[in-house]
Amino acid sequence: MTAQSRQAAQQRADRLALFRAELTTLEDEGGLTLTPEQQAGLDAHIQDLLARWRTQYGIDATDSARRVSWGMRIASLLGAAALVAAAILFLHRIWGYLGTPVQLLILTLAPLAMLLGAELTHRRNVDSFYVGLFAIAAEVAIITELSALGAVLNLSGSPHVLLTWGAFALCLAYAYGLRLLLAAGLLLLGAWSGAVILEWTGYVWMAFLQSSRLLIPGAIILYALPSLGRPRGGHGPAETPPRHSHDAEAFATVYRLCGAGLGLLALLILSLGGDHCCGSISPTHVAAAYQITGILLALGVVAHGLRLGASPLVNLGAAGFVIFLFARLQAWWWEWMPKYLFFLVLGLIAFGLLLVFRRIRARLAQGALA
Amino acid sequence: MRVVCLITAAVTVLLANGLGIWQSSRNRAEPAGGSLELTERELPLQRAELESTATVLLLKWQTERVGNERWGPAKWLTSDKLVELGFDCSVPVDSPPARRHYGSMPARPVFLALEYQPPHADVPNPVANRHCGLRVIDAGRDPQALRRLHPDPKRFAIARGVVRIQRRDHDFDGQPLARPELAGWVDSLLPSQISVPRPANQLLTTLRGPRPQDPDSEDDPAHAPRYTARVYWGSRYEPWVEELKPLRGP
Repeated sequence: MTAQSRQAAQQRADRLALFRAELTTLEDEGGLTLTPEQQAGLDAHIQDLLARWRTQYGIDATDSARRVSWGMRIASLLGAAALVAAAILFLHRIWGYLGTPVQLLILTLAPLAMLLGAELTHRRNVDSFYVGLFAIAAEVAIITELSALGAVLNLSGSPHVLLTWGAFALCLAYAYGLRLLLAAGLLLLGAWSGAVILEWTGYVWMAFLQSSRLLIPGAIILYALPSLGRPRGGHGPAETPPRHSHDAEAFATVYRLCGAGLGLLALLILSLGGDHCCGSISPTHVAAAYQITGILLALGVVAHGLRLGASPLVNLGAAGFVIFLFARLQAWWWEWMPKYLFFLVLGLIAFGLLLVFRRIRARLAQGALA
Repeated sequence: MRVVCLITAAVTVLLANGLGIWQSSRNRAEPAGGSLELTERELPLQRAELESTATVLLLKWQTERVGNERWGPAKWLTSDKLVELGFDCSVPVDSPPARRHYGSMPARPVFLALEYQPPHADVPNPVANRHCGLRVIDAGRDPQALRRLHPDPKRFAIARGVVRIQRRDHDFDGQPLARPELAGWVDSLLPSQISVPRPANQLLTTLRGPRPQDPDSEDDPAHAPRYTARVYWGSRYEPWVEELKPLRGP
């Protein structure tokens, strides 16, 4: 019995609810008619499944149960945030009265305690929402405690703290199948790659966003990793291999989203802020080159997303394309074109893009049906 | 897989904390950066927030500046010095790409030479004695070379800091300069504040209260410094505080 089994049972219960609603509609339209025996047998089977899952996993079998569960989650989130705030403020209050060894012990134990909470929650087969809550709390704890450790010991700071935060987030993501923590971990590791390169070149590592071209190698690696190796997602029980491959695909999509997002962001910053990679070329031409590269890269992400059937990638690529296109048009036309005409042309281009995206959506839908 | 990930996560926490503690121990093994006895003027107590009882001293410093006495660039950070610190100053300052070249250049971590000049005890003028006595006087990429230039560890400390470069084409009154020039700024010391542990912080916890941090208010003799602290800079040129002593009032 695992949390993934509970999740699979809840998903099936949700599909059964949709199935029953659709069955009623089809019967009303005369598209399908079940005999009374078939209807009774189906109802009994569904009730039996729901009762078994309610007992085994505590799933929400009805809409009202789902609403109550959401209320519980919100209350838990608020309660957890309040308790964490109370703990932090209490520590603030007594911090000056604690010796350095006690301070260091508290700092070290904080993320470990949250880690233990996540594992105990997972083993008790509680809703994965609560496991995720503990995991996020653990990540926040390690970020806070390493910052506090540096302040207590008067350390001058290092970019490798980004590596620590990113590696910790990745461990939690793979342990519990948490895509949000996976994204956070990958972005932290991408930031670390840029910060380390900047430090090696002799500059202050915290300025890595200012030198955003250093983020591009990390972005390329993140995007290429799913193709090079198969990152495993949260593995489910052996009896549901399709869901296992779904989790792996979801993780691969997160890798690509983070890589593409980081790369597009780096190119956007470079195109707007200017970059002196090539001393003899004018900054205007360098900015134009970055924007055109950004447009082509965004189109490439859209195309790759269509091929993989990954709609989040398509959406990210489309958003990047629109942003870079508008930035380039503003650079070309803003100075000399009458402003009303500029916005009119932008509006027409936006409508044209809408037509293109409708076609892309239709292709995605065809791919899903196939 | 899950167990391996959890063990790796736990080891990551322990390793990171262990590494930080080891670095701190290594730093404090030898005060290679020197030690200075500073007063409350150079080490004001950080105002407590969110009911915090943590005792943190801010490291205040000054340097000889060009133009504006409080906010101007460091006078001794000439173009030659900036090149010595590793900044790429090859682009002529009056060329078209200069603005973006120097504007996009990040700051550099360097080692700074600090000198403490205490106020003269026989000069009872509170205005003359109000200024912070800790001054940044030099910078370099090699702390040993900097120490050779400023050899007395009881008078000069070597600390980590950050320097940045700026291309200026206007003076501080907003008037355009005849020719653009390069200026260097000492952005900060690293770290810029020092945590004071128990039991050294016991004196500081009795001094909490509404005391203005604004140095201009130090015209009032009642705001004379209330304590001294000996600050050491270790083998990694990171500071720590020992020997916090009260000063008698005026």
